[in-house]
Amino acid sequence: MSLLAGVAVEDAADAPPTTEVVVRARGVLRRYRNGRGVGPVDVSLRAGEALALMGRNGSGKTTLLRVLATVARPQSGEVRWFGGDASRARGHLGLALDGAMEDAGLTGRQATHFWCAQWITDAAEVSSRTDDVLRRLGLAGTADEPVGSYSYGMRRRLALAAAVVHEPALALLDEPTAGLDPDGCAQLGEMIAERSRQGSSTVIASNDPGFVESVADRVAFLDDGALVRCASPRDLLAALPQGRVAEIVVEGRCPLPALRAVAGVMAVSGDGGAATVRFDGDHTIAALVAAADAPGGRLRELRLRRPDLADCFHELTGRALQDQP
Amino acid sequence: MIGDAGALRAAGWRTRMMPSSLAGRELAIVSSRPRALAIKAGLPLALAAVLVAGHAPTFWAGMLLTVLVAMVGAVGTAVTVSRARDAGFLTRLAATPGSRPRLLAGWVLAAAAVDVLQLLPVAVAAGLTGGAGIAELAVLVTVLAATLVVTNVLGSLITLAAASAAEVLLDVVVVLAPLLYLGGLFTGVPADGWRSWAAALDPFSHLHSAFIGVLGGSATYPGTVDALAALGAALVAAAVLAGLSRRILERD
Repeated sequence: MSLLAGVAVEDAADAPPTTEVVVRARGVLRRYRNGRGVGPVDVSLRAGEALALMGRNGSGKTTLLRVLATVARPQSGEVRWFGGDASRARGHLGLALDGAMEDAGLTGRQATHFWCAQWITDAAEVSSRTDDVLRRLGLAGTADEPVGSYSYGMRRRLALAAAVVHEPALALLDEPTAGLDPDGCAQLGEMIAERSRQGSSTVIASNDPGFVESVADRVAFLDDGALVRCASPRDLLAALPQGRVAEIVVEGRCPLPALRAVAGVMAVSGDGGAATVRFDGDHTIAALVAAADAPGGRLRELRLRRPDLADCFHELTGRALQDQP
Repeated sequence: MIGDAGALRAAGWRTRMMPSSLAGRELAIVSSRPRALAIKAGLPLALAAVLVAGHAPTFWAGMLLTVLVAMVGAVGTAVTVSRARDAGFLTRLAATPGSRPRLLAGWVLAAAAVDVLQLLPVAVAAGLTGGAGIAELAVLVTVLAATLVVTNVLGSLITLAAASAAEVLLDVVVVLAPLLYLGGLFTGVPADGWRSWAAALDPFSHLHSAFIGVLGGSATYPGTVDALAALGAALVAAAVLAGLSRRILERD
């Protein structure tokens, strides 16, 4: 039985009737010929809420995001946006995919202006919002330079700017922290928080546990296209047993059986030369060092941290959120 | 230094263009690369000059120029749309509130307009060489513009079958070759039989005919027939594009 079995699943289907439901997906199924995709899943989102989708590569995060963005049609099930259909939704959507902005022939300001103008007709307002979002995402100084001269991180920021410049009621952001530096992540986090304060909703597909924990009201874990659990980060983390996590890197192969045999170890995952060990008790650390430094593997690095959402995912699915290098 | 200041001023007006539509975006991109546009316009003109200087027979000169038009329109749009799909641009576009047929039609028409600008010098050069009158030149420009709409639509439709921007080049050739053949470009248009009907419906056949006309040869069809047939084909192409716009934008 899962240690998280006691966590209440907070789905907006159970939300108080006074709370406006922005998106409600029921029994949504979208699978590709290779079997990948998502569903059937039920997901809902309230106004002002930030929902994070977490899961391994190919778990269906992006597919679900595309369905919610109205650009992929479910093979079965139904999605309602703002109480209406997809055509109604598109007037209130913002979408940033996981790639960088590729409008190489335009300047950053021109590219952002173009996207804003797809929703807003007043030219002065488009210009004002364009200036504002470029400033908030740290692109004001380079706004009139060609996008082709931007670094990857700057083009990622520009893609995010284009997704939120028109202040959509629902923004869908795929891997928004990929390629961003710490400042960029902080600016993005503040922007999502500000959107929530203003009553706008955000869905992010991300496997960055720290970022998700800091911005998301709820986290939906997807595994092989199925929704494994959806709850607040606090509830998910609270359901984990007390303890700490050691990230271990060794030269050669990591001695996983030896690490599992250490007293106080609760869970071990890993592959190749890296392992993640969840344990309790200060005396366990010395024993872990000894086990990792055993013949056949030489300890290169041991980093201690508190448990995060990636550990919750492992607890629920028995699999690591991301493959070890 | 004077040159630098001039370049900065030129860059200034280009960066001040704020696109609101796909057509405006296309224009802003083209104007940001004037050298590329000059090269794109210069190369077809160079080919036309070689044909003229070599006194090529009008049938073959017209054929080569028609093939050039077909390739410029179809390849340019097919590669642009494929790359836009790979970069996620089409997906983001599909999530905007605008009407899909209108969005895509605006984009394709803008691309066709840029192609017309690029190939207009070739048409004028051909007309001047053959001593064509204003009416014949007007027919050629009309047929050229309509055929470029058709080839740009073809280019965007071909991306539905291609897996990548690299693969789309082969697909363009595979689709264009039979259309050019049926247009009688390599064999002439038969006097009767199903191929004569196929050629009459094929805009490439009418562009070929219009080129032959302005180059001083004996056109396959009367000028008005060429113009009306090409415009009809452009309308049909636009309707097909509108019908398939959702699939083009939403294809993974």
